[in-house]
Amino acid sequence: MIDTLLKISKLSIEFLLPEGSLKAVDGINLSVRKKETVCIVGESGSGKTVTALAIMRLIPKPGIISSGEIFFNGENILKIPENKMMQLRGASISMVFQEPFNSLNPVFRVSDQIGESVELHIGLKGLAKEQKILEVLKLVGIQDEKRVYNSYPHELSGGMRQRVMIAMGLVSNPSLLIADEPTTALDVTIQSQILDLLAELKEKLSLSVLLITHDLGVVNEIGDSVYVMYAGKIMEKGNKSEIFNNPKHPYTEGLLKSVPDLGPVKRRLYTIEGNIPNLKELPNGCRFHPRCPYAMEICKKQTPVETKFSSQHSAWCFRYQGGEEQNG
Amino acid sequence: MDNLVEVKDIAKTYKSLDGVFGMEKPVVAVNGVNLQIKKGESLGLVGESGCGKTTVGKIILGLEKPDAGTVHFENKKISGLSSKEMFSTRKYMQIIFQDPFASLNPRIRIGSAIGEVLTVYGVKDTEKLVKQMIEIIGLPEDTYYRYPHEFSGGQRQRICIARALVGNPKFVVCDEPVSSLDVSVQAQIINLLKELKEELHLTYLFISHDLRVVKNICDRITVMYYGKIIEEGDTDIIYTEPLHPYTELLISAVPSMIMKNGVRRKRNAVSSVSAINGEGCPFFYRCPKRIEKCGTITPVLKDLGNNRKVACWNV
Repeated sequence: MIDTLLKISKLSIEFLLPEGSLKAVDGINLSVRKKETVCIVGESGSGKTVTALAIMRLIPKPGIISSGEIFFNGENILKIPENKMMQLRGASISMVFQEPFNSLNPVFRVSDQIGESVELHIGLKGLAKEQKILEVLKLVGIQDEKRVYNSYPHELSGGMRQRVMIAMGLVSNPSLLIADEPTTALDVTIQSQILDLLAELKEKLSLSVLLITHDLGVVNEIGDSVYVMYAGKIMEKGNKSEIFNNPKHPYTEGLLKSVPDLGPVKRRLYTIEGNIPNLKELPNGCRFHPRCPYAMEICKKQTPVETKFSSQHSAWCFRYQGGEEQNG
Repeated sequence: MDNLVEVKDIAKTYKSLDGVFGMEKPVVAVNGVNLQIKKGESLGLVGESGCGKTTVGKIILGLEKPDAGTVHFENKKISGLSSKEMFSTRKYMQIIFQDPFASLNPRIRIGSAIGEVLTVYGVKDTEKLVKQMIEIIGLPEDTYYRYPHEFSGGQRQRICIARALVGNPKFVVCDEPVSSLDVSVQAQIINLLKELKEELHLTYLFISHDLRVVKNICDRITVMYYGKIIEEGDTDIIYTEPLHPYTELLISAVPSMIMKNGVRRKRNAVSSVSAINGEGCPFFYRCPKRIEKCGTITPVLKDLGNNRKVACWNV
């Protein structure tokens, strides 16, 4: 498709530990179109953050991309040399991290930290650089941009820091912004401002956003399409209304039912029994089967294949037969 | 119904240093808070970080000394008691913390960690009681002999709950007990807390910033903002008809899965400016409905009847 910006195919990520290798992500496919907000939803250990880091080619050691391809604008970025990747990283693809407290350098002013990206990726210096920084601070909704420009990170509130992080990500005018739990560490009112900001910037800058979150409420607020991940595999994908109104996979269904929400209060919340599996001891067959209320014999032995429900909506579950074996 | 806990006009100010050599400046954490917690209810205390909700919980338990005001437990004044005098009362009050990784000692076996409360209060056969408690919270029996690192986050939080409840308390402060847990595990713990409350006739003060969780567990809700209570009422009414503009803002800010016709609502969120100093409503600068009076006179918490209280000049 012409408007596909990012295409991940059969991506596997392994961590080579002394006691053996650990497959954090197992052959997933994922694509992000232009101007689309794609959400990866999953609980801790589902592999959503490593997937994002793989796109940036920033997987920490001893992790490796053991197989698969990542196409960005039609080019396989796993094949290009590191110096070319450095030009891409932070320029065309930017990332915003969860903890604005940890990801800003405490000894540099905001102007220096954003300025670094301006110099490297746009090549502006001096007054032009300053103008560009002030402009981007204004863009992310900071009203007193002159004060923030001269501030150190500790002088700013959590919401302000996250805005600075987003400004840093956007200054080079990227086409893809990866946001890893950008609002998890923030208060609700600040969270809603940041979500508003992301939705607005997406329109203004024709940005594609890959949003990683565990909060289905956030997905509902700004997502276009959703990938549900569990223990390194994709369980279900689809556009937002398909996933929310017509979930097919028991895990998606369980997640949707178990989240406390503002609607009518139930006496008991629905629960998914058991715990998230340890990647060292993954169950055979479908990874969700020990917790699945519909588990059948076949689920314990074989890995489920894709079943398509519409052009976008697919689930990997033996309750629906058919399709060929691929994940994502 | 009787009040189990009654808090009258408590205040607490901390001192913060402005820079390493800077001047000491006071930070008001709690400013004239009144609370009545009835026997058998679960009261939700909500607000953003830094609004003083945890400090209120700590003052009630006697872990923090208030600068002013009193705390009564079962009609007995407990604030200002020496730790010796507090000993017999503290048995009936417990706390569950947010982070189950930080609140369990990694070198102490689960059995001893849970049983410590009993030992302190001179119970001889702790093993039987602890094992009973482990069964109640739904963990395998051999948990007794194991160490914290062998458990996941949700299981650890179960252990923390067991530790809080083994001494048969009447009142438990739950300080964000589910906010560090994964979604699928969160529901399990919420259900467990609800069940235990019924079975063991507990009273909760449930401190949280997550309005979705609070709605599912609390009977009554108190909203705090900058050290003051600004609204209080029964859960259903607070969510359907919030009176204070701040409560309204909090509820509208919650990312919810209830479809809002597919469009994002435009919010009236005014970007956060710190609270007004001295007189006036603390919410003044962020309030979309402010009137002149709000900037000069602090609104008092008015009792509207039916458990409903609000501090706003517009009501």
